[in-house]
Amino acid sequence: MLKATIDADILKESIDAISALVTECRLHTDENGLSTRAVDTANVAMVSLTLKKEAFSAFESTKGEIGLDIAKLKNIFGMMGKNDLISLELPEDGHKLKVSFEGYRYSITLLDPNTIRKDPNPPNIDLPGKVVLSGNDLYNSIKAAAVVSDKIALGIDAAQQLFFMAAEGDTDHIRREFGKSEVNFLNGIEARSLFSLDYLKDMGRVMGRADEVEVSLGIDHPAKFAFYIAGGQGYVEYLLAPRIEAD
Amino acid sequence: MAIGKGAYLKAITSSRLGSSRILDRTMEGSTPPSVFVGSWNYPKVYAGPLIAPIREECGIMDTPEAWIPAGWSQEEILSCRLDLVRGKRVCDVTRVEDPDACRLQEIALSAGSVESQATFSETPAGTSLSEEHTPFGPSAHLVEFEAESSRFEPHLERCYYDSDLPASDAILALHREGVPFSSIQKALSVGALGTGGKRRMVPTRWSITACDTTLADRFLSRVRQNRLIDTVRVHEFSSLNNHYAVILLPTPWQYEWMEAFLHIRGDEELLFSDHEEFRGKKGYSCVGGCYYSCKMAVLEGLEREGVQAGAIVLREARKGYIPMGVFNVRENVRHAMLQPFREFEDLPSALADVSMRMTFPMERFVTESTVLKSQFRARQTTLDAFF
Repeated sequence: MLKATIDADILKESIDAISALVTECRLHTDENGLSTRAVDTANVAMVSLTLKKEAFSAFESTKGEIGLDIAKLKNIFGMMGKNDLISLELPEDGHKLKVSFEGYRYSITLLDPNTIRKDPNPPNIDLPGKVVLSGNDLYNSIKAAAVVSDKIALGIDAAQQLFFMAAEGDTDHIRREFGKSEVNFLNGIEARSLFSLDYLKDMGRVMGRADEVEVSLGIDHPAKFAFYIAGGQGYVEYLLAPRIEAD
Repeated sequence: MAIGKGAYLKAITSSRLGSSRILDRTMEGSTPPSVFVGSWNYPKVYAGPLIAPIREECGIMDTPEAWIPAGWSQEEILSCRLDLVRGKRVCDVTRVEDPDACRLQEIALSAGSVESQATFSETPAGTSLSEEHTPFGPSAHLVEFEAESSRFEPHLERCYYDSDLPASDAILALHREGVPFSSIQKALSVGALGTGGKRRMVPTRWSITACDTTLADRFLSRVRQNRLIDTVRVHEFSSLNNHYAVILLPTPWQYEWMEAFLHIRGDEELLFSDHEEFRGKKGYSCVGGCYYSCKMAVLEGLEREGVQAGAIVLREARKGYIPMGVFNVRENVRHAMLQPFREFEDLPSALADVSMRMTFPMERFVTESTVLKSQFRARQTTLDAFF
């Protein structure tokens, strides 16, 4: 059973964070809020999202699992006004989620969770290099890199205490460095890995709205991007597998 | 690269001669059955039947699926296709219930060749050769056209009368029932498929890519659930002055299509390519419809075998090659996927093996590639490699 009311903007922000990587997911509900963890079909990137009940203006739920067609839900967003209040309702053992706002009443048929990929295990991975920077700076450098290449290197120069992004195209390259005035070094240890911009562009669009993004890196290891949404009441983590350069 | 693919293919085809058959303004013969819907002036397009000057079963003339198994040479295909005369008349694509449109639907749905008579406003002239559609001979405006009534192919007939069946579902069902691709595409093109009220005539070229894409998307959603292959596999096939190598990688689905045109006009060597990574392609491919035909053929094979792989397809078109439409790519790649594969431990040994049957240097394929090169320079890993 789920009965909740939420601001349209918060709902959109949360769904956008998931839809950057997957088109369907298993959404877990309990008395404290919602959560999901999903891996994209190629097993390259993962999204974890939690939305506390405080993110809602009203929230009441029992423990359950919903199969959500993200693409379908996104189609409805066009109808929602920015500050509309959205009410979500799912009866006990129901297979249709009722979404109502401004006089509209949608009934969305849910997916059978068993037909959706199982939740991946929580990642247990050591990524020692950690920096915090503004989401906007991060997204802008991703966009800049995409002009010259399809991949980007993210790294930390420990000696100089710099966080850098570099992209090499066939003929052009671009590099952006961030010093201590722009980046907070939680652990400025040497790190460098290469990532696909195809994924980062979609993730960046979501991260660009966050005040702060914590980036965790290793050497030829995945990157983790963690940030708050919904005014601090929601939390998103992206994990992206690297591309490995041959010698 | 100084020349685009479209301009290059136009240059190859412009020097070819047409049919030598002497034509009149009236014609009696049969349609294989075959129809052609042009894209020029859309949505008021030129559409009409293709008619052969013979009065016997001639279905093979418009069934490209049968040409490679029948062992036809490029010259045989061309001479048979150039005998087809295209009658045309302006049709509004939305008016699928007009008598002209209905007559084209009857032709496209029929189970065999249909005896026809046509009167043209002028003597048919010219030929049409293109990378996108199969070649045909002279064309002229239709004044009158009559076709014998004929029996419908039963699978097509069922979809035609089911006006609740969306076109994409019809395409998938017909393919599953073993109806040839060319018949499904013709039915879509004449506006015989789709939910009532939404049916449209679709220009031949667009309908080919629409069918390829509809099938490929469905195969891909299944293939993505399959286990990855665990070695590098190579399927190869050669015909009609073309050599094809399908290299399957033990990665999630990603796809690169590379085609080299060698010494066809003179001493030129041109390479065109396009690719998509794990997340698919946005927008239309810069190399045209063959990108989608090849993708469909590879995914059809992967789905049949119940596996998932990344695919790099190398094509070499050699001296003597004439563009004859994307069927050439689709049927050759389908045949390649049906050949037993050779297995390799790694990509370099697979490429070394393939390069023995290629004229174009493998290094140039690699240098100008994206997905292929990334296997050497910056291979995408997956998350399960880390925890």
